[in-house]
Amino acid sequence: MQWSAAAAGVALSGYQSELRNISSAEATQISNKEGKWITAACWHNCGGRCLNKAYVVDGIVLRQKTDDTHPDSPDFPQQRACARGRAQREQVFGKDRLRYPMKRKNWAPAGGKKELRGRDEWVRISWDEALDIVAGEIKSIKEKYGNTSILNFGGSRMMNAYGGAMSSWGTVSWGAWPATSAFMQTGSIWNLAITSDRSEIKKSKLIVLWGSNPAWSSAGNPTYNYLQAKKAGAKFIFVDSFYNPSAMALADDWIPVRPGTDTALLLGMAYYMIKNDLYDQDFLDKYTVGFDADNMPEGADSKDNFKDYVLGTYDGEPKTPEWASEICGTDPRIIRYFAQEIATTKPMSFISAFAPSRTYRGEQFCQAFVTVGWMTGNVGIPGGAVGVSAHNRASNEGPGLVTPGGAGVPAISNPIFPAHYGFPGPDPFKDDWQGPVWDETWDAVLTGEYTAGIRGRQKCNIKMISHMGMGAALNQLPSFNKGVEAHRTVDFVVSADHFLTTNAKYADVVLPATTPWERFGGLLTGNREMLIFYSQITEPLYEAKDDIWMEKEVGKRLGIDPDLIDPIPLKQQVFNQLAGATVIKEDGSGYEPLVTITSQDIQEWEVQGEPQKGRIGLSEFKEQGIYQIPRREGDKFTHRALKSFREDPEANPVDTESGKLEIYCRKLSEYINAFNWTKVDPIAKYVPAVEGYEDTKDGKYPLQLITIHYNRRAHSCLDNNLWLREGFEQEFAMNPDDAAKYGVKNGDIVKIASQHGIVIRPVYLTERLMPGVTTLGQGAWAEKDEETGIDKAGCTNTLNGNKPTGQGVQPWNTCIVKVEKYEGALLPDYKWAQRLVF
Amino acid sequence: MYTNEWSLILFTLLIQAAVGAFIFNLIVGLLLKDKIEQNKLYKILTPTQYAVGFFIIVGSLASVFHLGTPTNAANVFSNIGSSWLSREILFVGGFSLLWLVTFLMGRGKQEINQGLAIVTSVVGLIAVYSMAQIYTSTIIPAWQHFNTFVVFYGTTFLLGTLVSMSTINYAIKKEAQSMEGSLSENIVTSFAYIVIVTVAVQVLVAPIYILSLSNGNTAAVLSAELLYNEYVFLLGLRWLLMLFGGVLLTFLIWKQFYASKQLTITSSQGSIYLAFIVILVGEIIGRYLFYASGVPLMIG
Amino acid sequence: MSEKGFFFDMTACIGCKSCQIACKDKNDLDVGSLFRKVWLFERGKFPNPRSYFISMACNHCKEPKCVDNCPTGASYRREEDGVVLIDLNKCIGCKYCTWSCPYEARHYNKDNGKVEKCNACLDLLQQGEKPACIDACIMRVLEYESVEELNKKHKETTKDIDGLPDSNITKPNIILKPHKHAYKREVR
Repeated sequence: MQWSAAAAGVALSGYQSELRNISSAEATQISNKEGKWITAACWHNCGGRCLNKAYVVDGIVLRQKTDDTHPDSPDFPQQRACARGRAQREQVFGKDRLRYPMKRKNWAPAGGKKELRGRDEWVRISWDEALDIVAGEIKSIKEKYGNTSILNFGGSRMMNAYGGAMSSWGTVSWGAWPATSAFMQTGSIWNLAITSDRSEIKKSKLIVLWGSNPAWSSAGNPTYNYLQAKKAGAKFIFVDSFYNPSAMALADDWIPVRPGTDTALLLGMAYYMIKNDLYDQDFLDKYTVGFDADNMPEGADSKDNFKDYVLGTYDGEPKTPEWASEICGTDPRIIRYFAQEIATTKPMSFISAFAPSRTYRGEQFCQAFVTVGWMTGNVGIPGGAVGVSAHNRASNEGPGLVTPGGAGVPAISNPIFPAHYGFPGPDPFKDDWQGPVWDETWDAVLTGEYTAGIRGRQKCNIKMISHMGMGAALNQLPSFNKGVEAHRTVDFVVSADHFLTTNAKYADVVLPATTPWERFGGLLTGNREMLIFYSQITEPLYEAKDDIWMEKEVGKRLGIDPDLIDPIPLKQQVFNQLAGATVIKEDGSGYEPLVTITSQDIQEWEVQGEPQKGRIGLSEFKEQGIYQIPRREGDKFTHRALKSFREDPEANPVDTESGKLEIYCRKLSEYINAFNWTKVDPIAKYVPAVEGYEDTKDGKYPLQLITIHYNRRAHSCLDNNLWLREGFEQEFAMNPDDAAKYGVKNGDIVKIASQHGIVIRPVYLTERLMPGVTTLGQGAWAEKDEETGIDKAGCTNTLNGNKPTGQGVQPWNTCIVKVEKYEGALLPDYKWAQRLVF
Repeated sequence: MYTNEWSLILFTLLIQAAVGAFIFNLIVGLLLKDKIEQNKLYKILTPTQYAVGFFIIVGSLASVFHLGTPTNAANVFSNIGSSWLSREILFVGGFSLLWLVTFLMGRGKQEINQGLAIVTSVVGLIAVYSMAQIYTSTIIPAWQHFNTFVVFYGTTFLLGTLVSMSTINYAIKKEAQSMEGSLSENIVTSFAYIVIVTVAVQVLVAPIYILSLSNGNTAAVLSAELLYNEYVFLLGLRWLLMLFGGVLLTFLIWKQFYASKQLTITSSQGSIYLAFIVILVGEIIGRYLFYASGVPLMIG
Repeated sequence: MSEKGFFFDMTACIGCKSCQIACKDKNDLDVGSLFRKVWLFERGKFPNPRSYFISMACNHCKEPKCVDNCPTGASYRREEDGVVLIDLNKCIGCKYCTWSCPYEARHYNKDNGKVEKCNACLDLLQQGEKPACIDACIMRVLEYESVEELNKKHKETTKDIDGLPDSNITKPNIILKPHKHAYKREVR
């Protein structure tokens, strides 16, 4: 008897480095054979990190599973993968994988018909020809125009060794948090987190999640962790323009607020708290500076304190809930209720994600958020915290309990943009770097100018764009339409990729790259409690090669020593990371080696190393694929943010200019202003955005758009995955009342236009969105029609304009649009033709 | 929702027409029994029998196209105990077989065995009943309604009589037969009454049907909405055609009563053919709408 | 017989569709075919939207209309645990069962001309594992066990919520912990 669910025709599985259709008879035969579960990489920048395993028979992946290495419990949960992870094999073995190196038919040295980029035919070429072209173009462009004329996304050891390349930079997902956190509280632009781990959050009586949707942005365990807090009795208040899926499961209250106006809401709350004496004056006096005139840092004008700004003492404008409501759209009664709740419920975790700060003048939100949070005194106490909890650390902040060692590969710095800058951005006061912020990248190519901190406008002459290595710049930077123009301007564009992504589509030469499933293996970190050790699942498909191999081969042709580019084989690198991995001791007093390595292991692996004693054997670790710290109630691994500071602020000051939490932060203001875009005050003030709510009032673009992280994809990765396309339809969502104004019905195809571009999408009408606000998931692979200029995929960067702001923030949640019914048809995305080349 | 069920539209219409034609043929046979010669009667009735056979064959073939795996078709009787689909196939099969026997026996004797024809007719009526039960046993409110019986039997009587009358007329003309005026008139009037009454019943039931759907559960309401929004033109057209057919035949009867004009089959042929065409089109549209307006109970 | 069924805690479902994709992976389903599907329900009006998710596959009903109506006996209910199965060797692809399931659990597969559906991952059950969807759930809101056990374990459950067909039609083996927005109200 054949069960209905028996593998009937396993479509396209990896087999001897190729993809092919398997007949149902063969599938049955294969599925009867004994296979092996291998830990597979789930490597995307999705905001989570989970365990993924593949069942491999004769080199064919039959199915996947997730963590079952130990029994599941709330304290010691399995690291279960989300829909995207579960669909991973549909990606790695996708029919649309790039198979061979190729070049544009009308390409010629120095470009040929450049305007055909993105619409030319492809010609299959040999690796030798491809590498010769790439090396040749790099060489001639460098010799003619210099290294700064080569724009390289994502960093390249080869380019760094060859004199460097122009980089692009910006805070991307993190929005305005890096500098605000650094100067107001942590001292480091890498350290945003002043929130606690899940065992602490569970002690909260009230948890505010502000602009946070872990269900989509931090899949894996974060929402489940919050659920434990809810079960333990915490009340949840969500603040968002969108009653999001996390709120659907967790929220007791939803506070709707217009995008980019959160600062006004916070100021209205502060007003109510001040007027009703609902704030912790003792805490503010002892632990912070700048709240009122009596507590200002040295050298600051006492009139510039936060309290007087809120009360309107000097500017004559009290920031009352009514004042706030006009801007943020939240009912004044709800503003008072909300303020009352946060001021009187202790302990409280006052948590935001990045989204509200990914706005024009986003710094003001971060300032206002922590200021109002600090007014409640919920700092360093059990179950109390104020700050960010997002991405793969969402719900569970704190130092890693298990961490990998170094790979042992020495860095090669980029002489043009030194390695110590990288993400999230350079020092605006320094002049040892060149390179445009993400928002000015396409303008830099097209106009030859960009802004370089205090140095102001700088000239550049970009002649080549390299998308080798990583990234999805063309699709993922604001102003996609300018990006296309930029790509059609330069002399050479090269991409390495798994698919004909947007980056690849507009290139001259495209190189097929391997995925982590086709490489030796590696370690992945995510939440603080576990370390994943994944292994190779399949041989490289077709002619796909590792990125580092491509770098070496191009390097060779430029006369660079391959051993400089790739000094240590991958296997040895992984071994080094394993040997150097550490785990927290049982008593929490320090760290010890994680992996037990025997001399036999070293022999078998054929690597250099010393035997060592650790917690888990090398082969056991490989087999399990994960090491996770078993947590239990009352263990020693709890992280309570700012605990020691709260206990003794004199002995344990925070790393700020004053040693205290800075409501008035002079350095932040100076730093932001030095970038030469938008200015920010030392205290939180509401200033309207460009293309913000206020700009909708003239009716030209009457709707605000937020571009959320969408669970079809991890940014742009996996957008082509058919299972995910079927599950998540990339709908444009809006409120039915708005739709009625434009004669739009649920399911209609609508044309959405901003000042920067036009997309079409099916519309989904929902009462979960505030009237006046719309949303579309970011990351869809742009499908721009050459005739009409309309992007039918709904890439949000077609709509988002480039508007540099603050410290180099990409204000993706500040966008205004208009909507009308589109009279043409549009098939569901999963029915579109795949981007097949050869 | 089910807008692509052409094989089922064809199958149900043809089998129902076959059953109806067979029955009307039997009625005609009974009316004329002992009134005209056996041999002559046989010649009048035979073309209808051919038509019935043709419908059975084409209808059955069409039904096969509905199946995903017709090679497994031998299994269809395995669930007679609870599946109306099994029963339908059994009774349609039975009707077909009995028709064949009737037909072959008739050929030998040049006479249709009316006893056997009565049995065949009864089995045919049960087949139509089973057919309707298939739909009333689903989770599709638009089909669970007694309207399904009305439209299925409606088709049986409408198309059946119209097919039968047309073929009888053809037979009379072809064979250059003549028939006594009063006999001919009996047939035409009984034919016309059947059609008029059937149309009238349908006209009465239709608004009740749509009204009860509008007051039903979500799926029923969706069906009703489909009918009076998306399909309102087709629905209107169907009823216009049906009414036109009905009025045409009412006019025929009127002529008999008030104009005191004797009706014969051949003299009425214009009306018969015209009624046949408009009602046929109306029925095809009706059956299309039957499937297209079926909305299942759903999650949502 | 010890009847088995699904339990679904609607209160904590985030609609992530991990179950849906795990099911697709386990059953190797092409696009267009879903044995388990996550549904989003929306009611209410801003600023008080009422919305919730339901994850649903075949409910292996006690009185499955699909089995009653199947002409071939290809659809049947397994004696020992009530799992509703399809014997593909018997199925003729008449699609009648798809008109008989109020939960849209059955899918006609054009490629093989047969109807397919959730079989509760029979092969995994035989190996002592749970259906693929259960262990995929990142909110741990799905369970599959004997109905008796589930009823013991979970209180304040229902089979009827706003948005699902009346459970009296087929007596589904699904036990729901209703979301606060999903309590059944008078329909129209």
